[in-house]
Amino acid sequence: MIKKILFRSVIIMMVLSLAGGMSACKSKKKLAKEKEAAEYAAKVNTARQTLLDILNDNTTMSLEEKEAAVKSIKAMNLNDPEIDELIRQAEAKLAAERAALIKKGQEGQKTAEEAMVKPEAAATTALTTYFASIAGATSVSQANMQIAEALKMFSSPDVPVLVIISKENNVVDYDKPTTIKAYLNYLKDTKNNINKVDKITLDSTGKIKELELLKTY
Amino acid sequence: MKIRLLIISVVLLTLSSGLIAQDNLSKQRKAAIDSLALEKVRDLSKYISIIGSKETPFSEANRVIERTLELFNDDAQMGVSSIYREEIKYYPVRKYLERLMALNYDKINITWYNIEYISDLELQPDGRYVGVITIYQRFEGTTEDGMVYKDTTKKDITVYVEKKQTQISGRLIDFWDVLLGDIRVAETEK
Repeated sequence: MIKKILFRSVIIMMVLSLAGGMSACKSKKKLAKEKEAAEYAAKVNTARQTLLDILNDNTTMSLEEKEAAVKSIKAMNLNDPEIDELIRQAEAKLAAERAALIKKGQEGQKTAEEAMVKPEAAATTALTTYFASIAGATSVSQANMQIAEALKMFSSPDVPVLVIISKENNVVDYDKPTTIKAYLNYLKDTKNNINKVDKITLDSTGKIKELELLKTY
Repeated sequence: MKIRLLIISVVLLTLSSGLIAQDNLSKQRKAAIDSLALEKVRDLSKYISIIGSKETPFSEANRVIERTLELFNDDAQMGVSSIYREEIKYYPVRKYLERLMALNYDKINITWYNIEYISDLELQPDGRYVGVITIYQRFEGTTEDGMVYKDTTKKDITVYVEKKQTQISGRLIDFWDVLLGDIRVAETEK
């Protein structure tokens, strides 16, 4: 009898144990699923927040960092319609920002190039004014003062001045070369201010080291 | 004999090819050279006016004399006439300019007008272009006591234009050198 009772107890315990084991297995799977879901939800939340921050300019990330973040979110393939839409919007926004940056860069380059050209343009304007005032001076002393001022723009009074009398295709005809001092005196003496500045070459200090004029008969 | 003939042929060929090269100037380029030569004569008229004027400071007149001399051939001469004599005197340009500066008048006014070619620039065998430009010069000199001497002289200026080469800032520049020759008196009247 006792043996029978013991045998039954063992059987019951085994059944109970088996039942308990199965239940534990079921719970682990559920947990894993729940964990996975939680992780996915967390990923979606983080992605959503990052994308919203990018769209609302609520981030200190650089354009490159923002582009990398969107790319990384896209690579996750979250399969969330809301995230997909946010990715589309963010990509469009960043593309516009990139285009604006490129344009700004080009404008900056253009401004820099203009700044490079500017000294020659400024010198041309100043020189043209001096030529007119020397040729139009009403006295020798007035003209001499203007000549002295104009010469300050040049690296020396002996800077060569070439006067182009004709330009045809690649053939350029020059008058006899002179110096800037002689040319300014020529303007004073003859009042013949018909040559326009064609090309100015500056030295490293910004002074004119060569001048080409074009005759305008 | 054959060698001599060959050398002469080569020299002639070289010379003629040089002439052809210079004569091949387009109308536009030739016109630019014509205008350049006329401009040099106009410049000369301004210089003569400045040198002759009693209002020009001595140092300025001397500077302008040097500039004027740069316009001329070294041996060029200037003809001088007067309504009081038939003889025309010729002076080297420097001497003429120095005499002009020292003329014994209280006031001098010299103007040139009708400056134009009477003989177009033509290519010569030596490679130069030569032409003649005529001008009319009106001279008025007033003495201290108010006596006025006036005359109008027609003068012919021989002009030489030659292509030359120089080096500027390391590059070779071909330029046209215009030089004035003798200035001959054609006629003088009151």
